[in-house]
Amino acid sequence: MRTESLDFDLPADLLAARPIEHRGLDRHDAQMVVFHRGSGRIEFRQFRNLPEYLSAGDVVVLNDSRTLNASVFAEVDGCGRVELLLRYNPKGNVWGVQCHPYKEPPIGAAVRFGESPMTATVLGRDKALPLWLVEFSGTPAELVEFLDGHGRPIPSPYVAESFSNAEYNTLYAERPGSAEMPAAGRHFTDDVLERLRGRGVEIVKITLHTGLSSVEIHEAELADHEMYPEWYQLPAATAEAVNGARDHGRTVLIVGTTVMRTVETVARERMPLVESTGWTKLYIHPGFEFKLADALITNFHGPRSSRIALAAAFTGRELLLRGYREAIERRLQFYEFGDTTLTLPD
Amino acid sequence: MDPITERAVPVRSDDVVHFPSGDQTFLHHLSSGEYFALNAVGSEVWDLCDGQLDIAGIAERLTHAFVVERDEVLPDVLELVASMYTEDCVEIR
Repeated sequence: MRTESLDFDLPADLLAARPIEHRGLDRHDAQMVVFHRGSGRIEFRQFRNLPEYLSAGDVVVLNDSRTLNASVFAEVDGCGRVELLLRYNPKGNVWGVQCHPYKEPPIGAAVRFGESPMTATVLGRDKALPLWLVEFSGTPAELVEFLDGHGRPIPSPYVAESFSNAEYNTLYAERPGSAEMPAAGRHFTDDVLERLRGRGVEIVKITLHTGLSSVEIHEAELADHEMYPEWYQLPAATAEAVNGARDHGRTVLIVGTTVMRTVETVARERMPLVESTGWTKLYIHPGFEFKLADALITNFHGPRSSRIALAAAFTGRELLLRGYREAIERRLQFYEFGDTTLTLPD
Repeated sequence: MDPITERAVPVRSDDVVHFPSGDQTFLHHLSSGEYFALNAVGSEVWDLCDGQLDIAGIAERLTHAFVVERDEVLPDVLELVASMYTEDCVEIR
């Protein structure tokens, strides 16, 4: 399939510039387009209506990764003052960072963060990714604490201002490590979670730390695109809950592209699911055969992106783009602070 | 006293997000909400505002990158940095 088949005109004023709370609303007040994949029907609801679509025995799978303050300014020997964007964590206190200094830093260049005792050393370019490898002086826990105090969430070009770390996180985020917010879960409030549990819906979690995966697809053919690796963990309790739901013919609702890539990565290796930890480069685009997911929540994505490719693979390209057109006419909001979609199997 | 002299050392403000688009670079000031567009030469100046070079040094670099005379480019660099300073997009060391 041609990448241009996932192209559409997206008015710039529909890119959500600030969190919905800044408009005096709750997170669950986001608009939600509901796609009924079987019938092709489209509904316009609010996220707060989600529990109406689920019942006892269904399982909701969330990503509990916490977004880091992954943007931090530093003085790098030979490069001056630069902004480092921490993108992925191959091991321990080594990070792949995105940075665009005027000239390349020498291997071994010292990195300083003002008066902070935290320092770092440039190890060189990553062999596979467009990143520098940088080794921090502190432990991983100390680095998270340092970033909490000195960094900020990586700001998208279209947001109105610099928002707090809490605003870039889901309410249930626990495990620090994401460079960008796993945004599909941002709409969940305690109220929605309680109403889901009250209906007998089981809520389980995986972890996938987001890194560089949200890139635009530049290849002419969708199939030619490749994803960057991201770390995931699927716990035994989640595997058990999902397997149980499938055994009983219940719905498994996947919350976000990160969760979809995690469960489908594990499902491709072994079904029923088992506890699993690893790195995934799974790229889901139209033609992909889903082994596990029944339903999907995901925000509105930009044209020609790997995320819309996943949404099109699951929902169906024509149905998805029809819903996007109607959403644009109704002036729904796109991207991480925007509105959302729910795709159901019926 | 005017801080924008040949010896002034400009540094990009932490409050500015910058992103390239073709030959241009767009600046978004996160506090004021203002957007600015820089052409190819302006983008080069922006990249060089890392606190290592003074304005004379930046102009010198541009003479190599764009094959222009220093005397030609220096007034333009002074004007651009002054404009970015007024908009709080750069600080002066």
